[in-house]
Amino acid sequence: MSDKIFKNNVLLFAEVIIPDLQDNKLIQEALFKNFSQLLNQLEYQADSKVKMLVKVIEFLSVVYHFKAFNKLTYSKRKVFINRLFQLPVAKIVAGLTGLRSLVLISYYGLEEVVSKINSNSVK
Amino acid sequence: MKNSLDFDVIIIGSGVGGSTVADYLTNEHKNLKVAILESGPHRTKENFTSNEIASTALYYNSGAVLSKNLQIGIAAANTLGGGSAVYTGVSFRPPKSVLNAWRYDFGLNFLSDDYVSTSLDVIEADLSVHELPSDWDNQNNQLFQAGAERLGIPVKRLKINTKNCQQLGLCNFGCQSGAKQGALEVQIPRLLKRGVQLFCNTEVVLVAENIVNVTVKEAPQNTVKNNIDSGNYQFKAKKIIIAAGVLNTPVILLKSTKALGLKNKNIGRYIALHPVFNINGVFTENISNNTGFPKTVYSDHYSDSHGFFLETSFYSLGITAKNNCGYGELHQEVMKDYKKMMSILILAHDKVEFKNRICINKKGERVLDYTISDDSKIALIKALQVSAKLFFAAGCESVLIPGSCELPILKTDVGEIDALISENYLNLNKTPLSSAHPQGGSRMGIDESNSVCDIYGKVYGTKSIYVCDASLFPTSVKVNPYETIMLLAKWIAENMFKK
Repeated sequence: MSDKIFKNNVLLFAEVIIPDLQDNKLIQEALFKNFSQLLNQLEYQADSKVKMLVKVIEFLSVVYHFKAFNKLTYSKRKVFINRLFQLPVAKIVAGLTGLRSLVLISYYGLEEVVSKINSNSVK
Repeated sequence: MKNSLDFDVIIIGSGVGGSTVADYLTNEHKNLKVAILESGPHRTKENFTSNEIASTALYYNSGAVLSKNLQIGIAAANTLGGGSAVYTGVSFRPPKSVLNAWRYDFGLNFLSDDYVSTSLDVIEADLSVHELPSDWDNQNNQLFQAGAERLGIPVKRLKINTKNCQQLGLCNFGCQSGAKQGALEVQIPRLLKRGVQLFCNTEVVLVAENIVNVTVKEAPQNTVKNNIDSGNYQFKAKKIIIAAGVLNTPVILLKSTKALGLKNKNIGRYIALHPVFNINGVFTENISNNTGFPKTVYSDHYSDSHGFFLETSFYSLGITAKNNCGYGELHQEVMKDYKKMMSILILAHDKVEFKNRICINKKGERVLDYTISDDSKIALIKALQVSAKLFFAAGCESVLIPGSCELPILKTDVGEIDALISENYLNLNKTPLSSAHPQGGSRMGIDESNSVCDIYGKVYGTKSIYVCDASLFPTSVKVNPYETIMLLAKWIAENMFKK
């Protein structure tokens, strides 16, 4: 899987986790920068395991929908990801949960998101 | 080896265990030539930041070293000062029941009530351990107390080791004001004054009797530069103390079994993690939650009866988002209520089991092989039920339960809490269970058949190798562990050079 496809598929997954990301290319780019930083800090080349999981998502998309992951509409992608989270394969579900964590930390670690949510801060 | 350096004592790790043992040794033996080898970079308070993503670099694996089954992630620091650089400063003495078990089941008779209290009096004075005044309680802590009172759950005040705390609320990102009295502010400055040599970014490859082989890596950006060139070195010393933390000390020993002639089957075994759920409730209006000191109160009411502690807590946005279950529209909407959130930390007291261990794979990489026991699951479920009731008693409108398929639980569901939070819903593959208190793996005890180290911290079967960190704990200490680590470090230092 090329870096470009990997990035694209991570962001398509991220849109299901955080729907506000749809059509917001600027935030998507910033999210992926954080995501890459988190990935680069993993020990023992564990980033390759994350890449493998994204490949599994791509593969299962073809199995379930006869379409590549990036060809699924947003609503189809949502149904598909929901289905993956219900799979009886513990490692896949736990892996998806880990990917979800990386995406959420990458997004909610963005200064623009932090300042937006914290704008009503009680001092 | 070309690059060889000689010392009297080499300490691997600059965290609570390593810096404390170094402090006592160099105070008692003024001419001792000591080196500390730290795998993480040298950061000071000036290098810390409030940026959540940048702060993940303070930890191994971006903040979560995952178990083999991916069900639990350990937050372990990889920076000068180790865990003391990123803990909240919550200070507990080891419970008497735990010390009793350590004395009677593992022969740690030196931990007499008198020795423990006298030692910890001195340690706590040195670290400015004190209760925070109640006027420091932010609304998250106030609501916890109000909810607990309504339910008849007794609450106690936490003791913290801070001096002139600025209440930045960023303890887990490193204390920018230097208020937290961890190794960075207390022991390490003293050690440097006494001439102890500090080698950061120094990865231990192998330990043999009187020898440590290391690789020194480049210092990362925005950290203090190394004092030696990058490359491979051999350090030599009369005594070698491994204080690299639970995730690393057993790994160093396992990688060195051949060089040390070790055949002990207990290395890396009997791990306890003190598994944690962070649970959030949504209050009716914005509250002060991520401002002020994050935690001032706790309850040990269920510690003996049901095996868990409740502590107040509050985390940054990314960690909170990860800890709240689910995803998509509902999760996103809930996160917009971050400023309304109350937060509780649940800590389950897990029992040690031989099968739970740190080991290494064929590539020499660390593997954390840990399965949550049925007892811990029961404790976690009960703790989630109690916490949910506490949130509603405090006035929350909804509660976000990790492991529940009902997201969120609403005020109208309050009568159904025990049914809604049950084992049927607890899918550990979907719940981000975490740990910040790993313990065991190099167990201390008088019986070599179930231990790794003797009661002086010396590794059985070796002449010069000692362990000095939480990996010595024979069982879970059931509270935040740093004071207990310091207690053992003091004992080990006091006895290391006794004839």
